[in-house]
Parts: sequence; structure tokens; C-alpha cells
Amino acid sequence: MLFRKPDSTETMPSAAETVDHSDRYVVTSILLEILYAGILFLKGADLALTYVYALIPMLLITAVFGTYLYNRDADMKLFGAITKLTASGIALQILADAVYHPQTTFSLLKYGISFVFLFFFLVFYRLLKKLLNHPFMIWMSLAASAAVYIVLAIWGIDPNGYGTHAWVRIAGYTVQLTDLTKIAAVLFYASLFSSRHEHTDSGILKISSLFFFINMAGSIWIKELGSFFVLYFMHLSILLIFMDHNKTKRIYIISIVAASVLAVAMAFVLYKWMLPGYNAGTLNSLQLMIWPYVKKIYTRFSITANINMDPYGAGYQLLQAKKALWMSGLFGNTVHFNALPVAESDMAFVAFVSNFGFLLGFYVFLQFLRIFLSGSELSRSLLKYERQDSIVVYGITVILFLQAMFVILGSCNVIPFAGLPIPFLSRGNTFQSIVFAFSGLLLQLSMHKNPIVEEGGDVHDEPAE
Amino acid sequence: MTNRRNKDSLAKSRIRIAELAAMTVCLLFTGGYGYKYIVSPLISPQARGTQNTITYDAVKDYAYEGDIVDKDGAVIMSSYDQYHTAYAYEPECYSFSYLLGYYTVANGRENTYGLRGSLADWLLFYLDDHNKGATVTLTVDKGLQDYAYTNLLAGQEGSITVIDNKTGAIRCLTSRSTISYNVNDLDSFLSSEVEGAQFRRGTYENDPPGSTFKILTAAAAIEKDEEENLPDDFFTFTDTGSYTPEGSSWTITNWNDAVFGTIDLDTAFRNSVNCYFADLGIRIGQDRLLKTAQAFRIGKDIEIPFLCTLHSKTHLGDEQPVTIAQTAFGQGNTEITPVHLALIAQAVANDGVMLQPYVVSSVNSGNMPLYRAFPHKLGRCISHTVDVRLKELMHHAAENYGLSEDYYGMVYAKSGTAECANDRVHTYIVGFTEDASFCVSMNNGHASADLYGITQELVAYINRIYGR
Repeated sequence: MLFRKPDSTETMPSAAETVDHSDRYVVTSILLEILYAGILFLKGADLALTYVYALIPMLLITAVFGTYLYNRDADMKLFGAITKLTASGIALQILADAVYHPQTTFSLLKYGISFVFLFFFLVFYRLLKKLLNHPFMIWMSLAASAAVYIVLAIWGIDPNGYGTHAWVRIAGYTVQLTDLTKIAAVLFYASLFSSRHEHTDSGILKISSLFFFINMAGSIWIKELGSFFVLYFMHLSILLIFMDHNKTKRIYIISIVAASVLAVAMAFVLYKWMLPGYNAGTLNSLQLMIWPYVKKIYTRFSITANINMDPYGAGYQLLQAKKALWMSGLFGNTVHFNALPVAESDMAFVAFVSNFGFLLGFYVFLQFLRIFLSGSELSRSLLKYERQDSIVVYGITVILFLQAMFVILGSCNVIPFAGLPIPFLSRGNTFQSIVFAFSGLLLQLSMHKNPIVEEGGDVHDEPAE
Repeated sequence: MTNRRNKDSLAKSRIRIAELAAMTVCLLFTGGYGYKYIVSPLISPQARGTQNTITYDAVKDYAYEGDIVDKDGAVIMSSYDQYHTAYAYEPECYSFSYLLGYYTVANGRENTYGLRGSLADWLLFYLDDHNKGATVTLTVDKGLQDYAYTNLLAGQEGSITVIDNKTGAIRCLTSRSTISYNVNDLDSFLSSEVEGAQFRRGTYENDPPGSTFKILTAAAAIEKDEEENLPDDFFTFTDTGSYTPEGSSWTITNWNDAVFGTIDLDTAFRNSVNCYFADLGIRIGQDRLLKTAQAFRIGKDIEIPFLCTLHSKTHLGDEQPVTIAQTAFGQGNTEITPVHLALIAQAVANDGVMLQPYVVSSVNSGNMPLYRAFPHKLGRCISHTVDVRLKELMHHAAENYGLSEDYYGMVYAKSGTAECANDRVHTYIVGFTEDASFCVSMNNGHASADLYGITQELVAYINRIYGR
């Protein structure tokens, strides 16, 4: 019974009623998945064949879960965006192997693992949900974040040579543990603002600041600032939205933003001040310790301002991205341009545009906006019934959207570039699993956005006090 | 509870603000980048130059320029072996040079000329599995083009155009200017300081049409006769060897000051009697002459896709008898290109319907078709009955040029000698066979009679390639 929702045997919808056509998002997802097969076929029959292996389960999952969610009033726009982004990611990753020859290869099995993880996560959240109302979950989440950084500081490895120690090797598999801090962050803020535990404003600021600084210190320790940026904006936006509007909060947020700007300015000053010493080899041990951070911040911002500053060094990746964008056109480059570093991960969006063109590139880009709008709408509607779920939804939405925006806008040199995977598009099993888990949770919660109301009641009524 | 409700209400409004911010960022990004990378290269030559400079620099070490082949697939230009830029062997490197042109980029600027310039997106930037650009198939017959350049132009400044009667496909468009442009050597093209050396004779050269314009004057007169059922003596004229238009002191004479006595249209056309056509033009009237000229698209642009746009003009309009008289026998201020003259012949050959000329037949990357040309009508110039009478006139004229029906089959032609600025004489013969129309044009001639031999050789070659 694919896409069957209206109970047409009982009543026909009157003219005034709106007929639900949201099953079209399932159809458009299926069409896009098939379209990618056609596009890949034009680029090479072997690519199309590899894609077909993924297409069969993809079509099945889209149709079956689409039907399931459609009949349970889930947010089908959100479903459409998630499935379209997943299909885009799979098509890109298959193409990336042939065009860019990255170190790793596309694995359908990893998508299967991510899918299994999604189900475990949904069960985990269902079990954990009640616990989030207890204050100890705040400290558990906080401790979990700290533990991640401690583990990485001791056992962290750098398998790709990026200069960060965000991975650990478990049974032959590399796992990016910093991604787990995103789950911890979502649970932390949900617990902190849980409807059954009112904290004072001062208490919220103190506890959340502690969480914030643990993540900041941990990120600096393992030299992985990218994930921290996502948490940074998540921290600010959740406080801004869900905390009472008062002077203390305002001063706090302004202070954090001002301190950030000051830190960047300081990095520039320090860079200019330390550069002669670094070149002469006369930096002391403390200066040598902070030099990599100062240099990294200086380089990232300077290259955004002037992409030609270091064309064969720090600016190479962005310069190649810029070339790729110029060559992309509406339907992708036609000159086999493949000199794009880390195309399967950090540069996934540019690689996507380069191969599939701006038309599909913008479509995919706007799917992230769709996720944000759907997530925000869901968060707003859940606020009425379950504040905790509302914060979980908003936290997840912010993580997915901001991470996508940071990397996409960074790789297009709109903002300083942060080397992170793009949700759905980039390769990376750990992050992919978390993205799937978050997406699954969003869809599951979207089924409960309109709880059953007592007879005679109105769904827009406030719940009984 | 009220406090809680207020908090939630505030949270909702802030989430909406976040939504607006997200939408703004996304729209600004898609709008800004869409404009920068998609729209601006389409509307701004500077942006397109930047785009193609970046692309050219990125691919120049591994991309091979696509092949350019003739209508039968014979290679005209190809990137052989280790050469990334296409190369043409002799004589194609000369005979096709003005047609093929070049494409270079430097300092963010594109320098383009000819087909290689306008087809760079396919020839250079649409690579197949072997990193070779798309193959461009021309409508041109390589053998005819080489023959026309080597044997017929034979070092003279001018052009030879051959157009298929039924399709408008250009079978030959070879030019030679004051320089020997070798398509493999850009310096041979750019180093000349002679004015106009870089113009492609045939498509850019606007000179008076000379007596070839008498085709149009005759067409206008026949049309007037059809419409107004003129008296029999309308086409009769007593030629005294000179003619002075009313209100003018300028005297028109015939070629070599010949005097023909009382003649009709056929005799006047065959002998290209200037005085007859000057008088006929005045009696036809400016409006009809102008209408006929415009029907043959004089004064209107004609595009040859991927190559250029043909421009032409006529100064009819001041109602002065001297202007009408001059125009009617092909002098005055009418300006037209040799390819346009060939198109006039093509229209007469094709029952009065002019077709759009085209030189690119198709573009393919491997098995993937990227472009295919189809015949396209520009419009009807004259009616069928006018066309039949014109053909009679032109056939008799052709026989006068030595294009005998017995040897060459049905050939129709009209010669022309135009006096241009700087005492230069531009000679033409335009005409058509059963299959193709042509224009033989020499920039520095003496008399159109000098072209009879070349035209006979050309017609013989055209007949051969069409299997006659």
C-alpha cells in the first residue's frame, strides 16, 4: 500500500479541506535517485552499474519508509530533503572514486551500518528520553564530552595527516570520536532546559559555559577546531532562543562574541609579532606551543580575504575549488577537471557542483535549508507539548544545517574554511552514522508533532495545566 | 504557567528569526554564486574571459583540441600525436585559415576569430574519455575548398563561395587577403599592419555589387509587369551608349562605351547594359526597387551560425533619379558581401526562397551529439513566375560567359564589375547550377570577363562533386 493515506472509503474531502499531497516528496526523491543513475550512465557505464547496486536498496527504503512516514503524518518535506541528500551523496561518492581517486573507496556496507546505527539510536533515545529530565544527565553529557577529549588526547590518531587527532582505531576501523560530542551536546542542552527541571538563569549560564569550555579546551587540545565551531554556534543559538531574555544573558552572549572577535584579532597580532622569531628559530617553548594555532587562524582568515596569498600552500585547496566552480556551469564541468583535494569529504559540495553542475548543486544546497526550516518548524510545534524534544530537534537541526553551511560556504571561500565533512554528501562513516541517526530522530519526532487531542479539543489548544 | 507560555512564545519568535536568517544566507549564496558563475559569463565578456582563462589554463596540459572535418569526414584540422592544439596540413592551413581562425586567452581576455573561436566551448572545453575536444563537422567540401583556394584564387585577393541550393549549406568559403594567413601560425595573421588584412573576404567585405545587382532590378521589373500588366514596349529601350538621369549632370555609360541600339530585357541583361538598367530602375520606381532589395535581405543582417553576421545596406530612399539609376545598375551606395550575393543566387535557384547559410553541420563528442544544423528558410524573395523568367535571363547570360549548356549543364549567372574607393575594381560572377550557387569575387580585378575561366573551372568542379 505505497503512499496510501486519505481514508477515502469513509469520507471524501470537502472543497474546503486540503488534500494531503505530501506523498509527492517520496515520488520526487525516487525520481532524483533514478536521475542520478542516468547522469552517471552518461559519465560511464561502470559508474552507473555501481550506482545501481545502491539504487535498488535506496528505492526500496525510500518507498517503504516513505509510505510508512506518510501514513503517520511525518514531515514529508523533511523526508524528501533527507532522501535527496542521501542519494546525492551516494552518487557523488561513487563518482569521486572514479574522478578523484581518494585514499578510501565508496562502501555501500558503511551506509548499511549507518542505517543499523540509526535504529539503535532511535531505541537509545526512547530509553534515554525519560532520563533527560533528571539533573544527573546534564553532568553525564558533560562528562561524556570530557571523556571523548581525554580518550582522544591519549589514544587519538591522525589517519589522514590533517594535523588533528580526532580519530581512534577500534577493531581495525577508524572512528571520529569528536562526532560523538555532538550527540552529547544535544542531550546536554535538552537536559539543561528540560521542562521538569527549571534552572536559574545564572545556573544555566554557568553549567552551559562549563560544557562550552570543556569542548573548547578539548578541541584545542586535539587540534580539531572545526567541530567546535558548530558547537559554538549551537551554544549561542540555544541560549539565545530557549533561555529567558534578560540582561545577564545579553551580556554573556555579547561577551562571548566579543571575545571571539578579539581572539581572532589577537591571533593576527601574535602572528605578526611571532613570525620573525619563528623564521629565526628563536621562539620559546610557550610561543612554540601557541604558534600552530595562531598561524592556523591567521592563514584561514587571510586566505579568505585573498585567495591568491598562498596559491601552492594553504590556499591551494580553495584555489582549486574556485577553478572548479568556474568550470562547473549549469550541468557540470566538461573538461575532466579533477585536481580537487579532499573532494570526497571537505570539498564534497564543490566536487558535487563540479560534476553535476550548479543546477543540481543549488538544489542540493537548498535541501539543507529545507531541513533547517522543517526542523525549526518541528521544534516550534513541539515546544507546546514537549520542551525537551523541542530542544533536541532544534539542536540536531542546528548541527546538521550549520555544519553543512560552514563547510559549503568555507569551501566556496565565502567564510574561513573549516575542514569538516558535509552531512550526507561527505565520506566518513562515523559522521554519516550520526547524521542518519539525527535524521531518523527528526522524522520520528515529526510524527508526534500533532499529538492526539481529546475529543472536542483543538490541536492548537494549550495542554491542560 | 503563564511565564512558561511567554517563554515558549518568545522561543518560537526567535526560532522564526533564525529561519529568516537561514533563508537569507541561503538565498544570498545561491543568488550571488548563481550570478557570478552562471549568469555573468553569459552577459559579460569579461566574466566569460575569466571563466575561459581559468579553464584553458587548467586543461592546456592534458586537453587536445577537437577535430574539424569536412562534410564527408575528411580531416581538415586535428591535434595530432603530442600536439594539444590542432594542426592543419597544407593546403588546408591556408585554404581554411580564415574560416577556422583561432582561439587564445591571455590575461583574462579571450581572443577569438572564426569557427575555432566561436566553437571553443566544444573544441577545447568539451572533452571525451581521451581528453579530446568534440569533433566539428563542417558543411564544406575539403577538395572544393582546396581547389578554389589553390587553383582558382591562385594568390589573388578575393573569395569563392559555394552554397547548396536546397539546404543553404556552405560547400566552400575560401578567402585570401593581402597576407598569406597560415592557421598554424598566428603571427602570420596578427603581424600584418596592412589595413583590412585580417578581414575574411567573402563575409566582411562590403563593396557595391556592380552589375550583379541587375538581377534584382530585373526581378523588380518582371514583378511590376506581372502585377500591372505593362505594355509590351515597357522592356524596350533605345541605347545610345550614355544616359543622364533627370535633374542630374552625371552621365552613365556602358562598359567599354558600347552602344546597343534598341534592345529588350534579355539582351540588356546578357550584355549588362548599364544605361538600360539605369532607365529601367527609374521607370520601376524607388519603392519597388527598394522592396525587391529588401526581399533579398539587403539592409538586413544575415547570420551564419558560429561564423559571423553578414551586413549590407542600400541608400535608396532620397527619391533622386540619379540615386535610383545608380543603384539599379549596381553602383551607388549599395554595399553587400560576396556571400550575400551567393545567397541571392541561391534564392533564385531555390524557386525564390532564400535559405539561411550555415557552415557547421554538427558537433559530436564521441557518440554524443551536441549540435546539429537543419536548413532554415529566411523567406521568399520573389514569386515562382518571376523566378522562372529570371532564370531564363541568367541562363542566357551564363552561356554568354562560356558556360555552355552542352558542356556544363544548366548554369545561370550574372557578372558584375564594381568601381570602389581608391580606384579599386571589384569583379564578381554570381550564379548557380542545378545543385549549388556560387560567387566568385576578386578584389583587385579589371573586368568581370577575367573571371569567366575561373567560373568555368568552378562550375566543372561543382558538377563533379554533385555527380554530374
